[in-house]
Amino acid sequence: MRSGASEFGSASGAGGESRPRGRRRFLALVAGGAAAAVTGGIVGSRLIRGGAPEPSAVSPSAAGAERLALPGSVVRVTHPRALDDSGRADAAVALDMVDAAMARLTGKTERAAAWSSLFSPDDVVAIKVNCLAAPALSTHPQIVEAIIAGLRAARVPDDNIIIYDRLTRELERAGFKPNPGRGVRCFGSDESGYDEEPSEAGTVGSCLSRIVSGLCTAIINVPLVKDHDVAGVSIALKNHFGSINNPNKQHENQCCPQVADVNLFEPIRSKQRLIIADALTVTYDGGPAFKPKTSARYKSILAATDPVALDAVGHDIIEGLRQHAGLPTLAAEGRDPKYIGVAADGDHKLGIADLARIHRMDVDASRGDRA
Amino acid sequence: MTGLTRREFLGGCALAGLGASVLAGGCTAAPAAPPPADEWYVRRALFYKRLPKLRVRCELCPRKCEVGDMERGYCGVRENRGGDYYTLVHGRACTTQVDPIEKKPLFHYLPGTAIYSFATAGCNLECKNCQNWQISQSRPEQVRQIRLPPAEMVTQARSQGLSLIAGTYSDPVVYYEYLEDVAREGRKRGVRTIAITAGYVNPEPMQRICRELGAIKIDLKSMREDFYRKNCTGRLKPVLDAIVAAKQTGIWLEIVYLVIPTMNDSEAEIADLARWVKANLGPDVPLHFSRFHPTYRLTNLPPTPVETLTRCRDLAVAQGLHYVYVGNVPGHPGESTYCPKCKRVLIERQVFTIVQNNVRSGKCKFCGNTIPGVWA
Repeated sequence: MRSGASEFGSASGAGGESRPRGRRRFLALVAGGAAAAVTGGIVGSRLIRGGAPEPSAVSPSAAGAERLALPGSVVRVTHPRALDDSGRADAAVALDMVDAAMARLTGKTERAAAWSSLFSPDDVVAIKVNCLAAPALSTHPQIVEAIIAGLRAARVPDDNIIIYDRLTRELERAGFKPNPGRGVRCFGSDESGYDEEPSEAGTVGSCLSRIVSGLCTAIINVPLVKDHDVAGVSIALKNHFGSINNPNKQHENQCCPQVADVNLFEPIRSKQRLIIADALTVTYDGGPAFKPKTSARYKSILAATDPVALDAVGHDIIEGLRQHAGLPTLAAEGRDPKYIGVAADGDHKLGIADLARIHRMDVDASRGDRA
Repeated sequence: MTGLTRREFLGGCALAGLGASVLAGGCTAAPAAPPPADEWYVRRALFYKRLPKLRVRCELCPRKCEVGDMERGYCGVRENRGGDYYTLVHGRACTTQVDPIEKKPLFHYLPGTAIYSFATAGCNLECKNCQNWQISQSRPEQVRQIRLPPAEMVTQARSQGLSLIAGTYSDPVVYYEYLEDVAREGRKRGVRTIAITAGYVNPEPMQRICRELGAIKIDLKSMREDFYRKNCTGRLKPVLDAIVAAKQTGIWLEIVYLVIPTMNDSEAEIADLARWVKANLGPDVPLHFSRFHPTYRLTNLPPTPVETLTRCRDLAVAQGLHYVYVGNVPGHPGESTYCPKCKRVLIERQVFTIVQNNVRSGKCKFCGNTIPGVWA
């Protein structure tokens, strides 16, 4: 690496081909390109039965309206038909599960009311999925469709919804249809680009995806729940390694405190309003890639506004699956995800990591169970 | 919840419409399938070891990243695919341009020569003061992409009348296989290749690449482990080992030391540097003290005072080094080469321009003293 001298100047462009789509062209497409739908779309509000705890806190949204914040609350929704015999997610069941999760989390049984407690029509909502190990293990498009249905119920326009991950190519591999134009948009940060200057948060210096720093006003984090060979687990907090330009630089010391620090970046900390973790399939050893022998059909989703609490619960789930399979704990393997506790410490204050203080709510969506 | 059978998994993969290469990597322990045709930049890496559970350990640099399946190493340009390790930047330049060799800087290697220079994304360090961080700290997908296989690069250099190619800007260590193939192709066609590097590489790959190169310039960033750890996320000792390993091959070598105010500019450290160079490389290896300018994540410090650079040069000369330079300070007398015997100006430089060159057949034209370097 050249440090100090000004040897590197403007590129000559000599020879070869450049990227097929320049950033300028991409931004033009984003501003007003051709219409295309990303997903089939499951539209309309439905009545949801049951109750939920009262919200414990509200905080101002980017638009100035109050929004829901529930430190330490995590909802787990299961459904025995979440995956069919071939392992494919069922869209209608996914919608039921997301509806149930939101009802339980917000205490609002109407879909529109539940989603409106977190999002307003003038929001631009970025949905961060996890497609690294696609297609075998990645956020299911059916879960994302259900989330989009909720946003539509809250009258968030399709043009204001962006599905993103690091690379458009990875999104495509996961079953999402890239669309930089009108309607629900879907593209990687490789298309949007990253901030031109790095930001600092704790130990981390990174350029944020422009989707996160500029395009959106709100983030829904839709991670997986999976083992990670370095960090221990990869759930909500670590999913934002896909929102920065240099995740490869953040894996030393088991990614600790880097994972917590990345979540301190102001756009992530202030814009993330909801986490819906896709735990339909959980890889409990050998991650972050998919390992069929150490994956379980967990048929659940987790929902929270507190990413630390959700990670703590997700970690607990993985440890349970490992124990069931006769595997040692992550701590015994030297892979305890210490960053979860760090994210809750006085320097970070990103949520609650202590399981004893976390309010866990279980819902069986197949029984219409919302209470 | 239940575990997945292989049949279920394969069914799920098929329904998801997956690509064959990913299927092979994800489902089995067999070597990964060849990369798709549109991934023309993927080549199997030269230095790695397979580990259990489809993990690999990179043996290229001292970091020795242990990388899980489908993950990348610290450099961001090497990826584990199904238990084998691949470079993602072979023939995938992100910038090219023509520079004078004095800009590298190499002062005792074909002075006044223009070099076809190239880089890919990625670096195996993260120096807080990196001047080229936009490419060195990026992954290949985040920067411009120029398809430039080794043979095509040599053709381009020759078509511009150039007989030198430099791997530079980011760090050629991370595009090692690409650089090696460029060097081999160039040698066949009368084009020499050099490397501009931080030297964060293991001795074996260092010596292997040096046998292909004409010269190497290594940034030695500090003589303190603490500096490397805090400012570069690296370690000093492996760099010193790599420099010695390079020297042992007989390659032409020059050292650059970027002087950063308050961080690596103490008299004790500069004296340690000069002593180490003299003891391990000899008094004739050129040492360049370069001026720091605030950039990237180190913007709270001023540019290095010129008097500090002058002092560093004086200290190194006093320790017995023969060729000590000051860089990034136009007009400084330390830009020029002086004969250590008769003290006359051998090569007078103004920034990157050679004003006069008094080296004749490798000797001082005034006193006949042999001047180490590669002059033709």
